[in-house]
Amino acid sequence: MTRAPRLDRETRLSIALVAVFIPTYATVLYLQAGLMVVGIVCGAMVAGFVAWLRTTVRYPPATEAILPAYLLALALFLFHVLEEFQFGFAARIATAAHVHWTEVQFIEVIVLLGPTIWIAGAIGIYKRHPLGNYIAWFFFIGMIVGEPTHMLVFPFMEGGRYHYFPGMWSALFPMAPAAYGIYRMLADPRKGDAQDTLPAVS
Amino acid sequence: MRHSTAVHAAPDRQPLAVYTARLTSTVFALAATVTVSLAAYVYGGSPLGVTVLGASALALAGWLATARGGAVENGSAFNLLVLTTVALMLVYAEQWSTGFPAVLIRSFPAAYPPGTGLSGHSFIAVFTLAGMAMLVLGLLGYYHRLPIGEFAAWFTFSWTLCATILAYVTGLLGSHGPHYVGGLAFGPVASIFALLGIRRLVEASSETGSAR
Repeated sequence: MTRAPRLDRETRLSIALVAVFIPTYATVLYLQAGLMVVGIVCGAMVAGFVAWLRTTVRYPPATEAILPAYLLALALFLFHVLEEFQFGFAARIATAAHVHWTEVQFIEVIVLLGPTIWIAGAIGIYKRHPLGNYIAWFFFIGMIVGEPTHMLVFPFMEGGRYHYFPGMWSALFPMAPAAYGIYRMLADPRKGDAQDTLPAVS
Repeated sequence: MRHSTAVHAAPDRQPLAVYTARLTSTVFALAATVTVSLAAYVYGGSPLGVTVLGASALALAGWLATARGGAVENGSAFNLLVLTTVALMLVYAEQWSTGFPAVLIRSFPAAYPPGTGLSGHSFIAVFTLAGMAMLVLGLLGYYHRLPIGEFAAWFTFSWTLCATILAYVTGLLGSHGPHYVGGLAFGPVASIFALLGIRRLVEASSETGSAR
């Protein structure tokens, strides 16, 4: 049985960075928003980490396989956060989960920090960098696992008749490109070179 | 010997498709320019309206001037486009954390009759969420070498420059005299990426034109 090739230095460094970042981010988010939000967001980070290590860590997929789906999912996610922001998601979660999560904290972490990292991740995906590949895994899994909670979990936490919860109407749309991105990451053949960073000129 | 005639029909369709895409994109870009500039003036006051109009005009001029022959450039400014977008997010973070929307109103009181001007909440909704979502879609269009993606790239670079200029004008020429305002720290960093991006777009357009 042949062993998998040894990870290069860049990949090992990327793994170490992610391994440090996840608990750091989880701690900050827990202190701000409590266990439930951490469970959803950082659960996706851990799931993405495991999926990345078990699949594409040695051979990041071709750029055209995931970058379009990633950018589309990211744009849809930003529109989704807009709905959450406009209708007071942070306050409703704070009340439902009995935590203290302010709109300012929501803006800092969910509106500013997160999207900044995800937009920057596009360069990593474009250049087929291992870190970019992890960010793609985290984001795609987050969209598929985290978004349905707006319909399946949050309204029930508040009790009473099933009702609107901020972000509900736009929650499911990022799932479609995210699912396609995961499919492409797993289905595309592993390529050893990084020549295919741009789509072919038609 | 039989000769295929299908090859004679194909070359005429490709230039027509490119021309149609460019024409559609140009009309859309003009419509977006007018609408967004007017909205910026109506809701954000004349300082913001002038800034958006200036950025849009610069983007349109640069895009149309470099779209020679209808060919879409080679997408080589993608990295700079992402870096500029990330830096612009940092500019927005700096401006939100320092209350820039309120500072803008206080700095140019004559430009803001009652009921006009953005709040901090609106700033987040319009710029960091809706605006960023549109810029990310522009990234997608640029990656796919669509004409409208080219315009989006021009607009991202132009808007970054003009937004930085607005911050400096507000800080230097506002009614309270020279003082720090949000955007003065990260604005120059974002503007460097934007200027490099514009240079890349112009160079790439020349490369594409000479390769035809």
